[in-house]
Amino acid sequence: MADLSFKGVEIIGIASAVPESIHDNRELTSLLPEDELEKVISNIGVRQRRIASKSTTSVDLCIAAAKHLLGEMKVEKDEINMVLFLSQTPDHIIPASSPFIQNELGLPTSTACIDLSLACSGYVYALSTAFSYAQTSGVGKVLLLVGEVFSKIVSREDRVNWPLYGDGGTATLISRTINNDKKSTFSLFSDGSGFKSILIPDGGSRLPISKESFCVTERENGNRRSDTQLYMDGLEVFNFTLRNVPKSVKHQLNVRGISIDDIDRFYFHQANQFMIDFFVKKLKIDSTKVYNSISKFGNVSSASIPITMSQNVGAIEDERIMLIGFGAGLSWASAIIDVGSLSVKGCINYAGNE
Amino acid sequence: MEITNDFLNELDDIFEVELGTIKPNTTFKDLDEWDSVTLLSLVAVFEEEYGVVLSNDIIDKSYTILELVENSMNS
Repeated sequence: MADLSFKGVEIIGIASAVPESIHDNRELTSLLPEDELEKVISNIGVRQRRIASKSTTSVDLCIAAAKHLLGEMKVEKDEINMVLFLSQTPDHIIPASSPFIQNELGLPTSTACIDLSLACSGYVYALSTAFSYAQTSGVGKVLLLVGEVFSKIVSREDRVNWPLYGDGGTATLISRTINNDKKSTFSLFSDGSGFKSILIPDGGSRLPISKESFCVTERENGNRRSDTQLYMDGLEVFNFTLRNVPKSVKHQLNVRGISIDDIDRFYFHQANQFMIDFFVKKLKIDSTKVYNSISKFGNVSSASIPITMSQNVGAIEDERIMLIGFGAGLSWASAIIDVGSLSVKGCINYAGNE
Repeated sequence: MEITNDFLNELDDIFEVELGTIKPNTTFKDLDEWDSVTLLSLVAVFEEEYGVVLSNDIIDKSYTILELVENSMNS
């Protein structure tokens, strides 16, 4: 297990951008009979989702979020030394998207850029990467962009996945600070034996794309999709999270020597409402401290934690927050972040350039 | 392994049937409310009550609540 600990690095700003097009799940009557649909909506907790237009990508949404954040916080472009972009739906296979983002944001060519790839655990992992760089001499501020457009990789005839996922992009600003009493800790975990539980089989170099990859056929429980689209074994994933997520939360609390009541805010990956409720009950968390965004935005994979954090414009001052991510890989991570002053710049609508 | 009345009552709740309906020998897959949502609830209460996880294999080969309990203990 990797336990990371930082001092003198903080999250100082966060914002997000979502496509302006709102899809109401109650309209999915061609996918599921009305009574079953109502039950599914109440179980997964997703009433609405934002779906990107054909020409909008995760990169576009992240750039919009970043421009909004940097503008609102009045950050000079040469203050940013590094851009990290995490997504499983980047613009291209080659090149990486972060250099393109550097150019679009007008950041200097002295900016270091790296793409990262992980699913729903991705934000917590990428944040630990950002903290690591920010703590290194030579890097002061790191811009972390995390975004997904799962609507482009999920079959609209998939009853499990289509009602669940939404699109969005986020920007988080991480900075070295002179304030050394704020501590942040991360615990990162992986279990690749479960790699098939959430999978797009074709299109990588293991199973290169072929004509057959695009054949839409009937799969489990009447779902229809091709091998270029997302598959999820819901039960396996649920079992994996039951086994590991509460344990990783308790582990983080032990690392810090604190109790669950010492945390001011909890941000779980917005997997589905049922799962979040289960964790809250199992871990005996005060539910008023649990922040969610799933009913409005659905599960936005790696972007769901920062989208939730970016709600409620204002500031989070001197609070201790916990982030819990888990998903494909299989991969999971928990973090306890001592926040000094975090500017929350909200979630903006992205109209695109159409 | 003991199957308590409280546990069976929780199952009644999940399957949305009258209290006392579900017994250890109830074939749960025949109940009207058996679907993917019920399945996840079932997995969650098994984890709570017995600390076990119900895999696809266990669900596939079990027909009664008792079989679910026994198969999950032996896995």
